Amino acid sequence: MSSLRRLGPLLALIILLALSAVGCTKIYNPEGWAEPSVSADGAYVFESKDRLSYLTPPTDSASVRWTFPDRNQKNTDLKLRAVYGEPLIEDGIVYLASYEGDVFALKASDGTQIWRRGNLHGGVTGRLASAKGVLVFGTTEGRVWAIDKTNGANASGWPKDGVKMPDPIWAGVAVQAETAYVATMGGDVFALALSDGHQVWPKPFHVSGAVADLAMVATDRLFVPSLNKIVYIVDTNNGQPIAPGARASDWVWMQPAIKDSLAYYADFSGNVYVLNITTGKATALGEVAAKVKSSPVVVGDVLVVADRARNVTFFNIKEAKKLNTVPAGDSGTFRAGLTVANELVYAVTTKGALFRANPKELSVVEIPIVGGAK
Amino acid sequence: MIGDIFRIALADPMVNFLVILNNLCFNSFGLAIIAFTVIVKAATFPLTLRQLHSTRSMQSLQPRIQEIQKKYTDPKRRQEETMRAYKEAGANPLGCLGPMLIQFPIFIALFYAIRLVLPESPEALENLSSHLYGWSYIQHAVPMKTHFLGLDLRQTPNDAGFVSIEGFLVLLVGITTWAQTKTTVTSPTMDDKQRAQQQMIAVMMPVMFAFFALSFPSGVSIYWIVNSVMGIATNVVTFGLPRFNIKPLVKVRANTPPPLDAGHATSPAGPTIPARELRTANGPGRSKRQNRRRRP
Repeated sequence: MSSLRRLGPLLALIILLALSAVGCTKIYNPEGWAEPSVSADGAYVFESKDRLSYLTPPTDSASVRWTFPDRNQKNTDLKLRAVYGEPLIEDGIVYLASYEGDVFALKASDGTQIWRRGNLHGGVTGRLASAKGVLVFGTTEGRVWAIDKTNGANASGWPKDGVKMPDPIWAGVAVQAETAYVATMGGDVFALALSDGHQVWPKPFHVSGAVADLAMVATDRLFVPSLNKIVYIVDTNNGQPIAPGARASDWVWMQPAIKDSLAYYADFSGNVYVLNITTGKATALGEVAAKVKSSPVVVGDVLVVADRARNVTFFNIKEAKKLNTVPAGDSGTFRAGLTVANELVYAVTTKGALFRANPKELSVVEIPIVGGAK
Repeated sequence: MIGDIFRIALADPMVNFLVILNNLCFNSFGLAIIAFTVIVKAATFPLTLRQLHSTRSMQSLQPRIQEIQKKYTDPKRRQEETMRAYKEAGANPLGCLGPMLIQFPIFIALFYAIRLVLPESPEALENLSSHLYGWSYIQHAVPMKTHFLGLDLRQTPNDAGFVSIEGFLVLLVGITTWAQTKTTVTSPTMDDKQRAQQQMIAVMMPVMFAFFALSFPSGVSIYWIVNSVMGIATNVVTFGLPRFNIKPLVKVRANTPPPLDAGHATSPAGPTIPARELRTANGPGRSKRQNRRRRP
């Protein structure tokens, strides 16, 4: 009995040490969630968090043509850390922004670097927007930049240190005509003139909760999902919501899929919604098995949703009916948005596995990458 | 399993509590950490008080312990008598461990909570959603402001570099831990060996914690510093600072041990008379209730 008493504090200490070990282990390092970019010529896929692979057109398999940074090249100072926005491909050039805080322009043909722009005050977690010869994006330290697509220099007319925002910017910048729309993690949405970065609205549109994503869903209509579980449609003419926000059950952090003035999105509880862009009213469409971070897509009348439990679910949007759910392997999870090419849907997991979903057959297959990272 | 218990019982409530404090503290997460420290210190004050009682009792027992050491040559017997003396005086040599053991999981959970609440990556923010309660009051606060008095509360001195405000925190962790150890009362009747041990602890503890602080997010270091400063204040109020002629502001009751001969009519060879029989009133270190329990 007395030995038990003596051992008591020791046992308590061991249990506490075990608890502390458990408490200290899980740290979420940046992994990136750039969605693939697929065309008839080939596919740009992040097979690993810090390396872009250009693949042959994905059929039964796909082969690596080149990687950036070049995996054969050792001792390089190139470090992407992670990439969150899909690569932007225009006029044979691939534009890419990294969490490390660099923007790159690469030759699409062989992946050779054309220019690199750093010193951006923070990393980039959103998509690059392209308009009028400039790339526009925000950084995690709250700067909005417009840089020349030809050489990465500051766009003329913009402040040399970018436009300083009050809070970090994690969302991609949305662009329409002469204006760039920028959302901050402080819950503000700003409209900036593409000419020089000055504010267009008299005051920013403010929501309760961070805005981690942003999308133009129609002319003059901005999709603003707040992490406080409310989604707004904002009229870009005046920076005001067209209706009170549509409430979700959990966080909404994605780009919606658009079809016939309707926006489809899902929340972190796995609920899928349809939002009328004209009225700002949302209704529930259905639910999936797990949290959804990956942006869904619509092909024909089929909505495709990939959840964090690696399931791909097909909905008929006309009948608001779930058609099928297909588990997609066991490698990583879906955080990156889905992309459509030739009526087929492509998805990449956090472990770099590439999947193709066929909305007509309601099937999902993995596409092996030959000569890939695995 | 243990991870789930840790998360549900400790880490998640702490995460949400910190977010609420952040909202109450003008959306300053640094102030929220300070408020949290004060609350934890207040909540564990009964334990601290018990520790102080225990320390005082130990202190007052020292003459008797020395007497026992002189009187008994057999180590086993000496230990038995020492333990008996502690027991009768209501002093627990491990009493000081109570507040420390409580601090430990809180400290670890805070470390965990700060990494969660102040996410360093989009994935970490995404993960935070599953730890927050569904109340709008909590949800709208995310993400917290990561800076406080020029400090990035997420950053470790290892990442920020030693010549930085975060690096300065390491120094403060060392100094405040040292000051707390120095203001903790020590017995004037300690022998040289005990004194040497005490001095070694007084040096090792600050060095060890300063070393740990190199890998702490600076928010955790703030907790440690504020906690130590409050510990120093408690020590000064309770024990005073004899070196600077500062007298204690409050008196902590110490149980008076009975003298060796009165409390123990024992001889190294003879039978032991139970101490209970020799006690007056409730007996040293015992309440009326405790005595009632012992009665048949």
